[in-house]
Amino acid sequence: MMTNLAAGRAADRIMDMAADTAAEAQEMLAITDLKTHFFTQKGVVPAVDGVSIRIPEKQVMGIVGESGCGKSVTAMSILQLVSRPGRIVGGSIMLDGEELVGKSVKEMRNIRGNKVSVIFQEPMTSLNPVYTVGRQVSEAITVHRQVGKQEARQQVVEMFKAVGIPEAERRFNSFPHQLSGGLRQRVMIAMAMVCQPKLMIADEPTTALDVTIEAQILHLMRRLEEKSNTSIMLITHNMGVVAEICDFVYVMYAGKVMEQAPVFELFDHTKHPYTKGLLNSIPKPTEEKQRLYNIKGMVPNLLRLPKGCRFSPRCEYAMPECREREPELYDCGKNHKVRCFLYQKDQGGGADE
Amino acid sequence: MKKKTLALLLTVLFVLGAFAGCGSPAASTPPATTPTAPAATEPAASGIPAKVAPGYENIMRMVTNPQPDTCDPQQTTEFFCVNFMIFNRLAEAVTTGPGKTELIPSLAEKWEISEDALEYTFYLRKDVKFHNGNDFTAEDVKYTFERMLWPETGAKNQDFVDPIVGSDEVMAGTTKELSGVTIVDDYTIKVKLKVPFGPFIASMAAPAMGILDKEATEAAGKDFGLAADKTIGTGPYYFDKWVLNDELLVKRFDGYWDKQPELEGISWKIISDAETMRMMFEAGELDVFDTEFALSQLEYFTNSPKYANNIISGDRVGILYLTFNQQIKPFDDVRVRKALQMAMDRQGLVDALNGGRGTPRYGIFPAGVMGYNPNLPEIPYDPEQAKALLAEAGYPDGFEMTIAHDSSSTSALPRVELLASLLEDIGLKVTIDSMDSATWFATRAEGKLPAYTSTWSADYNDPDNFIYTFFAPGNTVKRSFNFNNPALSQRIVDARAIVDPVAREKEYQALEIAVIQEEAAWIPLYSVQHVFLVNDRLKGFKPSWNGWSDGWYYYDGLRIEN
Amino acid sequence: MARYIIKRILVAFPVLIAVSLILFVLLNVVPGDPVTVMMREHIKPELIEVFRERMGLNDPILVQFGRYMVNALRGDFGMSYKLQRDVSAMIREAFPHTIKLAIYAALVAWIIGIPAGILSAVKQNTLVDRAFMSFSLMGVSLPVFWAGLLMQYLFAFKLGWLPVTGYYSPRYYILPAIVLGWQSAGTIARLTRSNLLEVMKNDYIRTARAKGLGETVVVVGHALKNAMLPVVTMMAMQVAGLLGGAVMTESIFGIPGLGRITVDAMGTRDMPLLQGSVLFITAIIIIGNMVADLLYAFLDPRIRVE
Repeated sequence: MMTNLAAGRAADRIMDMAADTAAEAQEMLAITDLKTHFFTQKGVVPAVDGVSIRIPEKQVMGIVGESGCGKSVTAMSILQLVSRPGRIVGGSIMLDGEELVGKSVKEMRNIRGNKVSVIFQEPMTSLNPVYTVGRQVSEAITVHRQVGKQEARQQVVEMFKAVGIPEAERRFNSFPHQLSGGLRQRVMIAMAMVCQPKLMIADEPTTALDVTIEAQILHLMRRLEEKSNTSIMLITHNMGVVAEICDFVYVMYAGKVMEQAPVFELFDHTKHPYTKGLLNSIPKPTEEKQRLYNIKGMVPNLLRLPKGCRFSPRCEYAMPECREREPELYDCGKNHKVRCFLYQKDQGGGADE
Repeated sequence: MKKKTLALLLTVLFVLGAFAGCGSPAASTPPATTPTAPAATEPAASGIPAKVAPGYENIMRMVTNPQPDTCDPQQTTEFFCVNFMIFNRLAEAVTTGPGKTELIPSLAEKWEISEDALEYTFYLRKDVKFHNGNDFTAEDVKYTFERMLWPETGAKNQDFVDPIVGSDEVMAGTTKELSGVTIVDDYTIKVKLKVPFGPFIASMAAPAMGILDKEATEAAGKDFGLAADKTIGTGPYYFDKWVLNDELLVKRFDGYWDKQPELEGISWKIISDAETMRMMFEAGELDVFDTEFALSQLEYFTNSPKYANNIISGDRVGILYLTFNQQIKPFDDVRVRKALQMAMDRQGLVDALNGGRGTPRYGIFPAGVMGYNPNLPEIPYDPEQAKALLAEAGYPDGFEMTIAHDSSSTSALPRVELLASLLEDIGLKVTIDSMDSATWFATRAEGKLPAYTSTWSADYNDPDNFIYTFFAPGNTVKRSFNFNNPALSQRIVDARAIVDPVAREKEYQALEIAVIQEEAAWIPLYSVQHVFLVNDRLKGFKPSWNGWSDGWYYYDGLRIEN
Repeated sequence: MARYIIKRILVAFPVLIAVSLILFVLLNVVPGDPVTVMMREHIKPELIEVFRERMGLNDPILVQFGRYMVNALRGDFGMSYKLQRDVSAMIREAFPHTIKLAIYAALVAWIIGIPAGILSAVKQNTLVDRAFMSFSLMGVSLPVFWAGLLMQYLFAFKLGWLPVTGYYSPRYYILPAIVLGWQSAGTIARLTRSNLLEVMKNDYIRTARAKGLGETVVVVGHALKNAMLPVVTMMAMQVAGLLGGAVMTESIFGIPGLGRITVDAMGTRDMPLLQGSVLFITAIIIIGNMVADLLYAFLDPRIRVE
């Protein structure tokens, strides 16, 4: 009872705040209280359990968390490509003022690849091995735009050049297996950008790449974002990547947002114990040979969530209260919110310093 | 949309498939068809639809199986369907009644036999033309005889010409000329025999003795008997086509010297599957269903009242028998052999295997063949007496024996099983050894088959064709009898020379008693009726005199009424 | 490419010779001989040796084999013992019937099998899926002769829609092609379904969907080509299967093809004919495999570009 009321109040406040921010900057994406559940034989899995995310225009927004925390399901929910037996059971997804939840299959098809595009983690397996990369990228154009084959080809070649693919003309006719991992990911980015989408979701785009290539790809994305009107939702488990390119960060754990803040705020004033754990696991070049920090324990089974705070079983600071009821997102000011009882006192604004 | 149509189509197929599964083709219930109104004079028709392919309106459609190896009469020992119709012989054996035959003059108008029975003079018909227009003359007869013997021919029926003087030299290849044959003039020919041979004229009517055109046959070379247009005879039909593994077709020869046949032709489809054959017949795609090629279907037809008026049967001038190898102990003991003869419940076998359509036999010559003895003592069915004989021979507890079976002959297996159970009734332990055809024939030729059951029917109307085949010195080994009574074997050879019909008949009947009843050298079982089913449109069909599937289908009244 | 083909053809020769030798030895080891089975019931004792000698059966096996191979390399496959015809001519005459049947059957198999497999995969675990899969299971597990007799009984005999036997027009081939093709259709449907389900799990399918492609384009345009690659390989194996099945089908439907020749030749120990047809069938299977490999290379760019 108490929890519901609290959640309700929190939601109200978020709505208020959304209204505020909308006044200042155009919001490209506004996810509100999204619930995507999987209906398995063993029970209902709340993979995304009331998530609210805002992405202003022309920003790179990061979602971080360990695997299985609901980042990818959130992203797939936007495209409504959540595979069975999962489906959206509640909430709203507004893209540039347009409600996506409840859209028909046909309407969604017009959104995908056109207004919202995706880059996946594995550039090798994400491209169809039996077709040339040029053809696969052209397809993204021809499906949404009334253009001829030649014109599509021209656009693709230009896009290839834009994403830094050398010998773009020749590469048009290459098969995926003939390209290196980095080039393949550039192809994926080209495919994602070719229709100038409003939102590009990048789901672990650099995880499969080595460090130098990773940096190149991240810079490329940043540059494209700056040149176009595209907002980027970057999904990663790597805080280093976040630090590199994101403007704003959401930290997710077990289907819920645990902390959200502008990137510098988050790194400088890390609040949530889970976020601290994630930050500690970044290898620091200055401290050689230090063992990587690992958050003890495992992501909980979503079928059997612990009572109270979802992170409490793994939390060093867990208090008795934490095992009793679930904390709300407490606003700590400076656009920084934390779902932790430790910061209950700060809520209502006020500087932390 | 396309997907939906396809799904629908497939679903329909699926449902039909399931439905078909319920009514298996072997179901004994007769298929329901709409009965047609019976014609005024004809008995009730079966309602078989007459499904006639264009061009076959007046062609009698039959089946043969297996496919003939060749239509050269000299090179085949078993497949005569085409040969019968496209050739004439010096004399023809015609059917005069069920299981009865008579020799009538054919290419020979008449013949004379000398006092000593060694010289035959044939007076040939003068107005005969071959299918290619050539005149038939004495030269062709001589050529036919000689070609049979030339080594390069590769003939398999030399035994028919073998009795003629000079045959050994020609066979050995030392000369091409058969010295025993003299051309008197174009239409008279004399033939000299080495020793008197009683059945010589009868054997000249056997299908192997079709008379060939010298010119055409020489020109055809290796193609003779294989290429339809090169296989030339004088018969009422000419060889129109042979599509390998499919069909043999003969068509009416307009220049035939005798009355024109009413049929436009005869077609033999080569069908190996009994079920298929039955369906074709019932669907109206065949005019004659020969149960000989599909014994498994006999019961279906004989039990079906619908086909009562379509059944035509003829006594087979032949005999089913069981043999045992006298080289294997204890079959060398006459008491054992007699015991086995007494173990046979012949009427029971006829009833169980042929629906009662047959006659028990106690000798070797079946009714219809010259020398048949209707007064032959019966061999009683007496298992007790049989056991006593076995005990007397030193086998009170029986012994083990094997019956070898040719697995390609599906109709033989039920017979073998029934025979085994009868033998087990007198205390024997019987093993059935199934062999494939080639193995079975090869083992038999080595004289090593332990025991088997088979059937023999007359090639020509003479007792020699039966007893010599099984008990002459060489034959008895190659057929795995290993009959071991040289005195009797010699008598069988000598009997061939008896010409006087009365003396002949007497000697053969004596031999039958000595070999079959006293020596108990084989176990006679029974003669069957050969059952044909005939389509409603075919009229006047008569089985051939000897009950063969192949026969001389040229006689008055055989016609098609569409 | 040309080098590859030449290499494959060169490799085929030893295979053919080995097959030939094995067959030769086998036929000499199993009991039974062509002469006695040729004479059957009317055996003439005095002629057996004459024929054995004439057919060269009294020579040592290796001599017989050598003679056969030398003649075969010259293109002379000898004369059938039983039918006394030129083996090459017989095969030439019979093969068109068999290949016609096999092509029709393959068409049936592909036209039915592929859509059935796709629909089953797309509608996985629905009634449609189950219906198709049990139908294809029937095809795979029903013996050809049984299915053949069944269809012949139902469609030709009971319903009278189609002829019972024959081969005179495409209409005659409908039943045999369905009977023979059903089995392959079943295999193809099952393989297509399982491959497609497997392929649909791939990341690039997700990519295709994320591009905004419709489900039909995703399945037919992106998944099918990948899913068909193993099916193409199987096609080669099906050449052997179809030729094998053709034996029964040809007997049931009275089609004078290669299958019947081969079976008859086996039954009569007709060495030249059997050798000839087995060699021919082996060659077809080798060619089938080669074509499948080339096709695979053509379809799969990962193999095409060496």
